[in-house]
Amino acid sequence: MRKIKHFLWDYKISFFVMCIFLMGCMKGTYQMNLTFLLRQITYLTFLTIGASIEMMSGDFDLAFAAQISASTVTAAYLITLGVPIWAACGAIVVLNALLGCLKGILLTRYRMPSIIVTLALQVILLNLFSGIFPEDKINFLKIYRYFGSGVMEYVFGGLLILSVLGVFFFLNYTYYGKYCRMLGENMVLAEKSGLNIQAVSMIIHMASSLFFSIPAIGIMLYTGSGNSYMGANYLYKVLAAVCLGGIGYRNGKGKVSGMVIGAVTMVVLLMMLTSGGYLKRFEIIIEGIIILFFLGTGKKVKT
Amino acid sequence: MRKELLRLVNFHSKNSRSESLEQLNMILRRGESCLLWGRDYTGHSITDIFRGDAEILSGKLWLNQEEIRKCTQENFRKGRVYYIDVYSEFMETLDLAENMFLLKNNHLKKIFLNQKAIHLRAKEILEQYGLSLDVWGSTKSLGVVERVLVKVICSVDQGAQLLVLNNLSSICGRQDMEALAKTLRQIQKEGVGLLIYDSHPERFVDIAEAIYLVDKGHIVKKIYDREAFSLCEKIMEEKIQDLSHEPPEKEEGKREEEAILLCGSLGEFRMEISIFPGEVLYLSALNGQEQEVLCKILKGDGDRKLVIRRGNARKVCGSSRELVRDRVGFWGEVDLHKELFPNLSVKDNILMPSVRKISKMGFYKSGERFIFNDHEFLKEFTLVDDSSTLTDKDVLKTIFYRWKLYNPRLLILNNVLSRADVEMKEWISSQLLTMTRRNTSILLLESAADDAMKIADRVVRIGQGGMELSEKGES
Repeated sequence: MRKIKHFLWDYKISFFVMCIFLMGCMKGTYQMNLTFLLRQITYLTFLTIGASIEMMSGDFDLAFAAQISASTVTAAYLITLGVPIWAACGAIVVLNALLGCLKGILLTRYRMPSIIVTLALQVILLNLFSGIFPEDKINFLKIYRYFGSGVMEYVFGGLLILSVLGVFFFLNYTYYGKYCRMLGENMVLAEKSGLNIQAVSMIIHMASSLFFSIPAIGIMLYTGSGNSYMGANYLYKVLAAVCLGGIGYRNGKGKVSGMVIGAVTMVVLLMMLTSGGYLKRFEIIIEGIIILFFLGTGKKVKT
Repeated sequence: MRKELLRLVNFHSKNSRSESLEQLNMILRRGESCLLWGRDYTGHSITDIFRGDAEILSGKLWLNQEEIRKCTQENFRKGRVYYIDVYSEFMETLDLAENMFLLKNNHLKKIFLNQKAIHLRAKEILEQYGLSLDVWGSTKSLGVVERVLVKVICSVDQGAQLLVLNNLSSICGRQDMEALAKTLRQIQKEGVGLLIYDSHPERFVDIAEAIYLVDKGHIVKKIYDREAFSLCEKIMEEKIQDLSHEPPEKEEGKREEEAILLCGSLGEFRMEISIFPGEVLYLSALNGQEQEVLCKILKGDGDRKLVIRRGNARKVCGSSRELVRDRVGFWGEVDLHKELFPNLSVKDNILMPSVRKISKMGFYKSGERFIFNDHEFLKEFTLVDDSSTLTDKDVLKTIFYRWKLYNPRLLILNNVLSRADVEMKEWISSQLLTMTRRNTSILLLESAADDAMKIADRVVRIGQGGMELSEKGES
């Protein structure tokens, strides 16, 4: 009973938002499209899990959105060249994994601050394909017959459930999950104790890149295109979801339940804002407030 | 005949604090326990080699017949030599058993973590050395002494051939010292060698098989005969003169009026003590954990903020900043070097808390030359420009002069005398007494009772849930 009370108290804001949403749905204020909701929750949760794992390991990642965009452009270009779709999807995974490795090396070997590194990477990746393709976009044959009917949404949903269970196991029952927390809390102590922090950081970033690859593949196949600004829409949503989920920055703390609850809360909140007719800029303002508030209160609780 | 483990041949090195060792010739065999006995920096400079803070200038260092060209903790760890001091860090996100098994060089191929197995094994190891700690619990609740003991045990579990121990008694009360000595004897029986430096070397005489007398960067004498161990004090002329002073005579009523009353609590622990102007009061704790609690209360980190009463005035202090504002200084963080500002010059380090007193508008530089030209104020200290290369001795002097200039009403010292080497103990003790002549009260929180008793006017022993007053000299 005590654990349930603590759980409800830890995510009180999220549960409050969801209660308001459910009440609104019952009253008919918000129109719920289940397929759309499932798709958004799936993508955002995958991205939140990836960003959360990186945040727990001490990396405040601003580059993942640009990473997704660059990988979709690359894959879409390969498809237009005649490469099979499965191979193009594999290219997304490989490219994200390589970028994850690069982040791991820059953060541990060269001890660069994560915000600076990822900001620089974001700028590079966003502009890498700019000017090469018309409207920074590549289109290919749309695969609507798989999307929209709910089939792929349920496939991705199932994949999400497996991923959540996998991450729970990773964080609690594997060495690498513990190493992830150790790097986030005290990298110097971890290194002094004999841990090969460079190798571990590369592996952790590669693992979290997998969670960026899956929604990148989904978005690319759904829209039938690759776009330099595809992931930009998700950047602050994901960071806000990570903060709502109680994931600690530089203290290695965080739970899978928090990641899922944070993502679901953000989707619900944004649906409420959209249904209420609020302009997009209000969404971004709220995301910024959430990030500031939760990072600020998180630090206070720690001290 | 024991096999050779460590050999230093004409070893000349320098650490980050510019303390150098010269012409060091030393052989340590497996399972051998050696105690470094000295008055100055030499002992801890030798242990600094194994902390990875030494640059080899000339000579050779051989470990397990392999030459070590660079003194890093990693190289020594490979040779199964572990360095332990009082700054034992753990990861707060991991529980105790996870800290014991993950804070080491595990192979990257290990993926799956058997939680039950590691917790059972951790409990087994701790019980083997007489420690009953909750292996599922957080390391936040561990006291300083328990952390050190866990580090020692973990090092042994990782197959240590030699443990280098630096000044561990500085955080140990009498009870803790007994527990530490018992653990070290047990480890010795298992064939693990010990290289010990301590500011109270007499506490480790029973454990040592050899004593190396060290002075000014050299090994002066090596003593292997146990009967000669008791002569070490005389050989080093270590006996500290009994420093005594009379607190200033005042009318009884007036003294009571000016007394500073300190009240605070943490958990079931409640503290209420009074200290008079110019008095040196020693708060005697039973063990390291109690001392930590007292330290937290005095810093304002208790359940309630520290209440300071003086006559009719009442101030509540919840942080070091508030303490300083109320002219109460606190000296004695876990890492003394962290009390220094490395980016500021030595002069600015001394001036820092006094800046507002010198000039409210911040133009303190004009007053600076008057302060540093006063030879009475800055005796026996040569100012250097760069604060990052100060020796330990100079760090202590810098921080002392900082407080001397600030002239607090009350100065609280936490394990400063216990951690200092013999030379510095004498110097700090005499300087503290000069401060009392300016009506500064000194409150000592020291694990080494002998050092505190030399200058204390009054001793207050902490009792169960309250305070017991006792006169100086009673044990």
